[in-house]
Amino acid sequence: MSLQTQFNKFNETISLSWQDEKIKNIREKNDSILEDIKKKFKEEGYPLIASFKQGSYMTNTTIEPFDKEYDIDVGIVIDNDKAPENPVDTKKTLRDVLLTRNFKEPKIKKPCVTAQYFKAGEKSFHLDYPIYKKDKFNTYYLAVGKEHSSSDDWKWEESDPKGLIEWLNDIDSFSSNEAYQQYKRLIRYMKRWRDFCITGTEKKKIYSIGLAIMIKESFAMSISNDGDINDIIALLNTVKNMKRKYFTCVDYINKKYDVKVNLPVKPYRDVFDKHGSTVGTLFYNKLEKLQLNIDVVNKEDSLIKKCEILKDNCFGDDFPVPDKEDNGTKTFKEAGYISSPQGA
Amino acid sequence: MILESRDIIVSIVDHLKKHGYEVTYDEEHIVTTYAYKDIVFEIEGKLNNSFPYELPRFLLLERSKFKHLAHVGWDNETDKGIICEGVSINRHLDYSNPEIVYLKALQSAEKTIISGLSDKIKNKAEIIEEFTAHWKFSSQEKKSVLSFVEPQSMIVELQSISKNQSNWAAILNQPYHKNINQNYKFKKRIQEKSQIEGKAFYIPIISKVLPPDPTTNIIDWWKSLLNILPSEQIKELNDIARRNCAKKLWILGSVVLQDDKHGWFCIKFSNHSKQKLPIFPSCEFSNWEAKAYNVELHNNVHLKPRGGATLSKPQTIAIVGCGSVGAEIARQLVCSGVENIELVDYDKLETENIYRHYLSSEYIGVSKSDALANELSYKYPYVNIVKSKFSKLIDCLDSPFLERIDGIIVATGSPTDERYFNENTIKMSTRPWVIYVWVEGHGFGGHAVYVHNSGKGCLNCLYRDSYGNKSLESIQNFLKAEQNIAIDLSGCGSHFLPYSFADAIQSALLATRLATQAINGEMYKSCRISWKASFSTNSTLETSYRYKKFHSSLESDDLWWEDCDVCH
Repeated sequence: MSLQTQFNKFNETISLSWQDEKIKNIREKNDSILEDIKKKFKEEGYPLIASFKQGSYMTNTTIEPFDKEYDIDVGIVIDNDKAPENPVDTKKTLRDVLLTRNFKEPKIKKPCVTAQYFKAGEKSFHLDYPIYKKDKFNTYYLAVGKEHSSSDDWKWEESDPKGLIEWLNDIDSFSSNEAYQQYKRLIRYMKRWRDFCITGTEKKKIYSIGLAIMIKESFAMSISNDGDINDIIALLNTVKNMKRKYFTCVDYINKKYDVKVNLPVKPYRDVFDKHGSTVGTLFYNKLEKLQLNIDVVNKEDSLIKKCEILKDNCFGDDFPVPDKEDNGTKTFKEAGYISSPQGA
Repeated sequence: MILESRDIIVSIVDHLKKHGYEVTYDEEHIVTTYAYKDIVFEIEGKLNNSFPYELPRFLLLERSKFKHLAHVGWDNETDKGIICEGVSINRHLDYSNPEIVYLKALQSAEKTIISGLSDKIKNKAEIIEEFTAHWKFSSQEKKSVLSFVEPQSMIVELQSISKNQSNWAAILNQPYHKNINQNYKFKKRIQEKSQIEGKAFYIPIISKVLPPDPTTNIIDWWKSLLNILPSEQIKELNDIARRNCAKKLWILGSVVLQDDKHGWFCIKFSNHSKQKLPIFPSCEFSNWEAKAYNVELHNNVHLKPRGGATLSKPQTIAIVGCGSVGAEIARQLVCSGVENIELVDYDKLETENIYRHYLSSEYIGVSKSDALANELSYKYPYVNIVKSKFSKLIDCLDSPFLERIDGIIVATGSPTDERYFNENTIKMSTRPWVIYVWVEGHGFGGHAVYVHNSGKGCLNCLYRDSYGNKSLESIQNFLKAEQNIAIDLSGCGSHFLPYSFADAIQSALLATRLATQAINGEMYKSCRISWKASFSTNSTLETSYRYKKFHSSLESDDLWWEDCDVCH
């Protein structure tokens, strides 16, 4: 049993897929709501031409939410020729559908419509619905703007939601499938690290998409030529790269940092735009602390202590700590026997 | 010389003159004249038909005038001496500029002569070191003497077989000497129908001795040699001479050179009647005739280093598994100079083996270890190769056996047996080094794992997966496990792992290289090496991560895995 084995278990524990039983209710709810949306949008004269899952489900980097508040992102697509000039109109329509489906406080946010579902008075899950119009050149435009904001902010902004997913899922930009899988695991680890180590409103400002882009662009594979995977070294070196690449010190005396991470596809905007140095400094300091903790882990001999540090300081209780040190005879992972390719 | 060669000669002559040489020439030769102090000498360059694709030959004219001169041969008939072109045995020539080639070669020849003339001490030392080559100049005989005698410190009576020999003037053999195995076929063949003739003795010369030059009478040289032998040797030779009379006497001598090397000479003494042997200084030589013979050496110290052996002490190596890989390793180790080999195998050679196995159809139905020991001792003289009393790898977990053996090479192709053997030997406080070797199906590659006789790293270190779990699948392999790799010829029981004879040899080489390094004391820790094919016979098989990343065939990798529960 090695530290990597513990990382494997941790990865399995926190991973969540679209087909997971835990989100069956949400999937069903979403399917049902989509039917209502289709109907309503058709009535309004801009029928749905498509809908697609967005976000981490499409990149297989969804993790168990720390607070058990599951969410899904579903893109709604209408035809460019039939789309209203004011994008907020479509968002209002969608908000109204959600109101009829017992969602409390569906809100029109700048990039999407979001709704919180309560069960027995407790937050259960929430849905995010960004709305796009698509033209004959397959160009997507995101409906941007809040209901009560200035009409100057209302716009159909060129966007590339599918391109972003393709970019994040581009296995050809990795040296091997094993490296690609390691990168995906790092995204999961760092999302859990964010959820565990950053609290309050700031947590929501360290966007998952920002983390994913940073990790892809800073990824430092750690797989030996024998194929030995070493996630903690990959994590350490990726964190170091992230600190170098995206943070600028704006106040040397008070050690304040700005963070800037541009989308790799249209509209190429900074994911952390307008957050200022508060988020940047917090983010930087937390990364630094993560790096320090990993350094301590790497210097530690005891597997139990290593795991305890990671559990207590980095990832929370889902990181497994073995009952005893790894000194005894181990068992093979395979049952009984395998067929071998060797002879003499 | 053909006509166009004349143009070459003219261009060379022009070139030499431009460089200040005094030159004369005819259609085949170019002669350059030199003056060194008060000595004038001439070098004749002879362009053979292969020039400028081969270097010209240079001859020192009036050779006898210069007596002993290192790196210069003799031809008594022409009184010319060929000048050695140096130690390189293969040169890459700029044949488009023959005059430049000629000049460079001439300058080298000129340097050789001047070096010999200018430094008498160095010249003498070099001639002594080239004893055997200079001895050849004194021999006028077409046939050589074949000697099985090892250099040693004592005078030894030899057996001389000289009648009915077509290839050699005589064969000199040391009776009762055990260094050659009794099965050795060549020796048996040349001794058949031959007869012992005359007396023969081996005399070790421990002093530095100048070989005779071709103008020296061999008896005079022999007499001068007897005069410088130590008194103990003279006493012994006197005793031998008193006890022995013969018409013919072969004297085989070795002279000590640098780095434990030896120069060899052989003199045949003949007399019309039986006389006391001419091996003491006061001997009357008038009725003896002496001829110098070249010596063709067939001994351990001369032959083995040509196979790469630099073995300081004889070691005993066990090879477990005499299949296509193990049998090849046995052959390679014998060629590498390993003296003692024990073969462990329970199997017999089968008909289907013969196109993948070192042994031929002659041995079908015979125990592989027996057949291999037989075959190799037929072919190679200086090996003691035997079938072990053990037949399986598990039998080798015998403490006395493991204490007696210096190294074990395991080529069973059975990961189960090999892993079990590894687990049990690693626990032992003293153990031999072990090499595990195997080949992968369909020609993907082969591997050898060296487990040192102490320290970390063992075969079990390889049995893990990418995530650090203990696995029955070896991380060393290029092919993933649990695939249909075997080929089925005719249903159940007829499956075999497909790999070629070349794959087996290539894999065997890995083990042999590791073994010779271990035997020579050049291995300090456990390691592993692999070879990987650039293509395979089956592209549908799933390969491992290591296969995709592997670009270092024959390079050594660390073996130890920190989480190994066997050698941890």
